[in-house]
Amino acid sequence: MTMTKDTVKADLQKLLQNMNKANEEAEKALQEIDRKIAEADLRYAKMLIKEEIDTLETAKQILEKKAVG
Amino acid sequence: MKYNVHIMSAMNFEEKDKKAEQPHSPEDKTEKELSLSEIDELLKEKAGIFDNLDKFSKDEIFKKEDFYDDVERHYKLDDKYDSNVYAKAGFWKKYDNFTRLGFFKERYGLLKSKDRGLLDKSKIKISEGFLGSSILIHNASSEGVESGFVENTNAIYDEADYRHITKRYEIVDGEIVKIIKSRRTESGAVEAAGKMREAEISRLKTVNGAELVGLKESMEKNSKVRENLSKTMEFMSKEEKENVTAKLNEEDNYRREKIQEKEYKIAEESKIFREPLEGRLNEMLGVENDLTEAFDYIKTSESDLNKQIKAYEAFIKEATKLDLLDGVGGDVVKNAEEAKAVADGKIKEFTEMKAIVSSKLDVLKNNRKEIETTLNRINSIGKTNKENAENEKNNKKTETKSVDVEEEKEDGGKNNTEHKRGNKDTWDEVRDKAWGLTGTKEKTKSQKAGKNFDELFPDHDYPVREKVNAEDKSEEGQSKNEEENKVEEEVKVEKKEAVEKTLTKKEIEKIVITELKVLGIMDINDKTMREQIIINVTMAVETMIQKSKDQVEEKDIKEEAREWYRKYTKNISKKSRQSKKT
Repeated sequence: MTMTKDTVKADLQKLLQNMNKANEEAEKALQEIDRKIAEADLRYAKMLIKEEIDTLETAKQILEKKAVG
Repeated sequence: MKYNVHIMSAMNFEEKDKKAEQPHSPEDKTEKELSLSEIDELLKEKAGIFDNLDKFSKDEIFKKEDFYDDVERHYKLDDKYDSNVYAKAGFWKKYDNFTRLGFFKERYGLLKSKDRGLLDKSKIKISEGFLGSSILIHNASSEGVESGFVENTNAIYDEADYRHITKRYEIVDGEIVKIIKSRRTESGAVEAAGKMREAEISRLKTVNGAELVGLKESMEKNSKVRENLSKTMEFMSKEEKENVTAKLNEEDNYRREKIQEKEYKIAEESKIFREPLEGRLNEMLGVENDLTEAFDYIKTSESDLNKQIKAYEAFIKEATKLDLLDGVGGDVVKNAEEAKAVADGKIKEFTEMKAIVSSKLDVLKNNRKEIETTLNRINSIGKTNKENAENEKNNKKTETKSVDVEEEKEDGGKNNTEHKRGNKDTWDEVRDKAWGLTGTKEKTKSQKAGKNFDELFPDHDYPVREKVNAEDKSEEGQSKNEEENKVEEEVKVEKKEAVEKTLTKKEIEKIVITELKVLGIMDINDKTMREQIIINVTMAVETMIQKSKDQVEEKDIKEEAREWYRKYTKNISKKSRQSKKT
């Protein structure tokens, strides 16, 4: 379809609408990603602490075993 | 827009920092000094932190209260390190020294110092014989303490802060002594506990593991002897043949039984390392998976927005070429330009997000490698070279090939490999940066801490990167990806099979009990004994399933249960029969 001044205005308005919609969706996506990262951060932090707990518990079991033996 | 990505880290480690200030137990890297009470205390603290992040039942972990386990050592003073503590020599001491022409200083307890002149080694600076509760507080390695306490504070603070040490001087029984109190820091104690675990794994490998390997090898030897004997046996009488065969069978049975016993023992003993590691590995895979999904989500969202931007740009280009934009109202063009600017900003944010997620994935993958290496070490205990080679072969199948991927053109890629180009960051630093833990005092010490990232992980890559590149790859790249996909497919199939072979604990128990009933377990009068046998046999079967590389079927479970039942009832059944008679 050939472009005319009228179609340009209409198309540009349509593009603007699309772009605004895409921006809104992008904002939502960014927030969602942020949430996912924060969630992963939390799990990772727990993992670090759990790792230390596990290490200490293992050491404890070794010592207890030796004390019995 | 500021995202809350690192909120958790701040929350978590603010608390940890407080704990870091508290002194802890002695650091000698020997298990003797890492006491149970000390561990209990650390566990309590860590579970406290964990609790803040998530509700975590900890009651069972702590049973002992006394956790202050200071170590206090008395040392003789050292002229090199402790000269400051001596009082200056009095007039008569100086006079004596003068009359002896400065000779015999040592004999008469004198010391010539550079800064303070002649010192009297029998007196300390403060007449009461006490120089404050702690005149120096250092963080130092145990070597520093043993060699007379290094006075160079800069050097000491450069060391990893494994321990808190305090030093004071006192007169004890007329003699000046240096008293050094030492406690591990939190990270020092965890590090020592980790070393204890490593030592225990090694012990298990060298003691029980070697014994098992020996048994397996002698079993193999026996089967070779049997092969060689077959010719000789042709010349034997029937009776002789039977005798020899019986003897060989007896030996084989004995060894088989021993092997099973050892395997069971090793499986039991290594449980304390294996289970937490397996748990962590699963969790790690979970987080890795979530982040990979997040990365894909970013890619899709970014791509959607990019389509709009491109459509807009193409339209503007065409309209400008035809000189048609002037006829459009100024507001519409202005608004469209603004929307485009916003979209560009969002693209930038997506790129940043990709970089963040990629570096986190990078760290996770290397964490996973570390765990897998340790698990492989544990799983290789008691395995012969042949078995280990076979395992290695199987493992190689599951490993995706590490491809030398080009640096990504997009910013995310640049950021992802920042640490690689710098080549200075240690593993801990890379991890802390990626996970927003930088600046926190307390962190898990990697066993390999201190080496730089590339030394530790020369072939590091991460799955996401491969996926990202797949879109823009040349044919060669694509064929590489195809190969990788093939390997991944194989892995998936293997995993699926592994799932299929998984029976629930209840199902296993049911099969075992049914088989034991067939074997006559109900004939044993003692109920406790019966129950114990059921528990033991079930555990042995579970261990077998866990170790088995092939699909485990019901008949395998039954066979295993039969073998263990025979073993357990060898002695028990006699007693049982006796009790029946009485």
